[in-house]
Amino acid sequence: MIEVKDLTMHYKATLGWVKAVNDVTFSVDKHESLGIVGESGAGKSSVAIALLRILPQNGVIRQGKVLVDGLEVLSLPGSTFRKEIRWKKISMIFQASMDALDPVYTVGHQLISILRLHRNVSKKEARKKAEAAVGRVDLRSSILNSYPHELSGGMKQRVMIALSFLLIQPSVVLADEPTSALDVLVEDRVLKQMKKLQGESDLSVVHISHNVSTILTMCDKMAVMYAGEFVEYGEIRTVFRCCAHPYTIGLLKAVPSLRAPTEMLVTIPGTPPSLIQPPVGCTFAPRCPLAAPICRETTPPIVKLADDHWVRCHFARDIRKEDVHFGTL
Amino acid sequence: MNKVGRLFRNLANQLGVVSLVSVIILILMTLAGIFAPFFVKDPFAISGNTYLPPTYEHPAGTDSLGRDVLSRILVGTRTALYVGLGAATLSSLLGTVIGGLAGFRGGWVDELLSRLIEIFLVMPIFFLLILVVSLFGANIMFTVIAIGAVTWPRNARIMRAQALSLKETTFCKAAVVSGASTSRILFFHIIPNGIAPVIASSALLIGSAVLIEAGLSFLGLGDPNIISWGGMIRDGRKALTFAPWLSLFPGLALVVFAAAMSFLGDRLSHILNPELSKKTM
Amino acid sequence: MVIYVLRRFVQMFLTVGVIVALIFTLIHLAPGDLASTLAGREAGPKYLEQVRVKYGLDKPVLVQFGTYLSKLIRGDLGYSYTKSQKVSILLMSRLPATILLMGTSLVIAVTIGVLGGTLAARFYGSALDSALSGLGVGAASIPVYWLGLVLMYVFSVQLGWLPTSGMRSIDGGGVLDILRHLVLPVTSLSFISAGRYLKITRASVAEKMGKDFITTYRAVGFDERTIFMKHALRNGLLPVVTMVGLRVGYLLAGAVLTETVFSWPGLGLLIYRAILSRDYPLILGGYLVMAIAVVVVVFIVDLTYVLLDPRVRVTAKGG
Repeated sequence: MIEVKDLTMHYKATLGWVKAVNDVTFSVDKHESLGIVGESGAGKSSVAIALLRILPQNGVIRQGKVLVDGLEVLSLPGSTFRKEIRWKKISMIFQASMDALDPVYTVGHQLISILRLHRNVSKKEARKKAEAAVGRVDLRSSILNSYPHELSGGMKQRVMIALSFLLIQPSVVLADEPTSALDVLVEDRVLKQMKKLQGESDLSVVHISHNVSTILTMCDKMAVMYAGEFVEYGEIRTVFRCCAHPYTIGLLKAVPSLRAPTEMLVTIPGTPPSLIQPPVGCTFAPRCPLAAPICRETTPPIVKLADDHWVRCHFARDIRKEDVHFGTL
Repeated sequence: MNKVGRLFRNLANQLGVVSLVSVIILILMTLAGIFAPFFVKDPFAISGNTYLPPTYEHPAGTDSLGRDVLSRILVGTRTALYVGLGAATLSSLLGTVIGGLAGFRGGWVDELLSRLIEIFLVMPIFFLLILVVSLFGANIMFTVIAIGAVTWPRNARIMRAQALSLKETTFCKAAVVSGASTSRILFFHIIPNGIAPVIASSALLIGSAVLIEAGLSFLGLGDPNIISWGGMIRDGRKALTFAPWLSLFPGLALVVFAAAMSFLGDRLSHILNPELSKKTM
Repeated sequence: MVIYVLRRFVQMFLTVGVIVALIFTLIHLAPGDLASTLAGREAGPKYLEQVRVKYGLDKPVLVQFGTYLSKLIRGDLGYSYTKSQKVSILLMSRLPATILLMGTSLVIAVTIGVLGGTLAARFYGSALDSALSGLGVGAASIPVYWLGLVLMYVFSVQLGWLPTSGMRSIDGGGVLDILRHLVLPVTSLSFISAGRYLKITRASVAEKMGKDFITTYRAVGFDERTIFMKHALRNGLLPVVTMVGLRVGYLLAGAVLTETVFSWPGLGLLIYRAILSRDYPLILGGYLVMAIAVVVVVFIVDLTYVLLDPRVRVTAKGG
């Protein structure tokens, strides 16, 4: 279980501070999964990087509290965090990349060495565990003798899933765009695998994606991220039916439905704002069709619409889905 | 005016301290080479004051024929610039065109050129140059052409790799489909977009070319009619025991020039290929 | 895999062949009549004709090349014009000295350069890194003959600790004597080469530090030191092997210049003097030896790389 309060993380760039993550608050219980959705550059990956404390040299966590199973981890010293938390409590699936694994060692060698870093087991036992882990993601144990470059994208991601979910069994798994680089059929398989594993264990999952449909299929809760902050947050069915933030509405409207009658596809005109100089007031105001003068002056408050649903908007209670119109393709 | 100032600030930031110093040094050397001979003593003036140690009159001393060493070093800068720029230009021109053609066309043209490039990369080129220069005469222009002709494979390899990846881009494919000729695509699309690493490599090549020419002059294969730092070191060698400054100063000029060029070249490739290592905590 | 090795082997032969053909062509393209160079300025036309026939210069170039090749296969490299000895014997006699010089310099330069580059990459961006890489770039820019002269002046002329030139003292001397003569040339050559290798190593290892698998291993909980040693180095040093091998040509060039400065009786000095005195059989023979040496080194380095990098192994298996 993981609780995050007011997490704020900035990057120092040559032109100024990039305010990538601002006052992010959420919690994910055991057996629960939270989906963080938003456009590229909204700061979603930065949240994951901050939680695992693998920031680049120019990244700074300004403030925040992160409680994993009740223990505050952000304030732990670096070496303690590394030994106790990384992979033991929190693990991460990265976006599929060619180089996620070291190309000069076999897959098996790498899994075994990672396992033995955290658990005191013999090489033989580690090998058995690794075989079991890759087996649960439908991979043959012979894959352990292969080198990373001999695997396809889908196979590599499944290895990463095995690595994150199964090898060590942490409390929290952060999945950062795990299927974005895969083609649709493979993506379907991989997501089904993830869902199965989620169900079989009691860990908390934070699933990051720019693809709303993926999140809607996979998660129990949803957080919509825009320009570094959460603009809407709640139980997934509640958000889907009663979404109140114009951005969320736009996002959901942009996804064509298989069953509903054919409509024009909706797009949200404009581009996300600069994170170095975010707009005054509501960050979405420049693109919002319902923007009023107050939106450009005052930062919108968090409005609680239900026990499990809040929105960052001045007009949260008054907005209905039907009233929000964007452009069409 | 402010915009120009900001541009300079930006450039200075990008270059970093060391490269900035290198650029300044190189500019000073270039200016010295071009203008100084009008101010200092005649580098060819033979006098009776032979083998003078550095004094106020002759800040770098005089050589075996009483000529002022400092003037000769400054004039030698011209040679260095001529050799460096000449060879680098020729080398990059040849390399870019040939490499671009090979990468873009593919097929047997590419096969042939790749074999050729491989052979040149492996061959000890300094020896080849020694042979060529001693056989065909030690004329400075010829030397420059020879150096350029022997070093183009390095640039060709870079450009070829660029061409290979660029020809898969949409705008290149679009150009092909719309019927543009090979030379048009090459010169208007591929080369302008792929030339960045070649420029960085050429900066380094300037330094190398100067060192090569100096080496040739040191071995006595330099053009006797021009002043070369390498040749000066050779002349100074005979008097090493009692007049070490004769070899010392020209060598220092070489080191400063080559090192400045090297720092600049490294920094340029850093800027043009941002592959900064991401360190995390 | 075997096919790959064979293919590279054949390529090796072809490369050497092309180089030798190139040299041969250059020699025959050169201005001036070969025969008159050999016969001397005062030779009469009859003597000139004799010389021409004796050295086979009256036949067309291709025939001359063919003759040369056929003799080559039998191990006959011809006769030196200036030294009145068989070329093969001359080359063999001077080879050990050059190997001693180059070999020692290579070992020292690689050790220092790779260590320095690794250190710089480990602490990338720090003051130590700036100092090391600055030193490396600076060292690589120094002309080896100038450094040789400077060292010679300080240590031989002024301090008298080490001899100025040659490989041995006049009154014979054993291993220790040779070592004393070896110090200055090796120092000059290895200092500069080390700078070059430092640059290469630092760039290669630092580049690997930015790869995704490094982030993976950090996220997994390994400490910086293990990540660097087990992953960055292992990946980063591989290309260094190839690059050092490719730069054997530079080392050879450096050897010539060093041998000239220190009058070290090696192959480089021999070939240089041969070029100056237009001793063509010796020039050809010398180039042949050098070309073979360089090509063989590259071949060995290539094979080593294939053995070490699993990614390349797969391509090699395909022939």
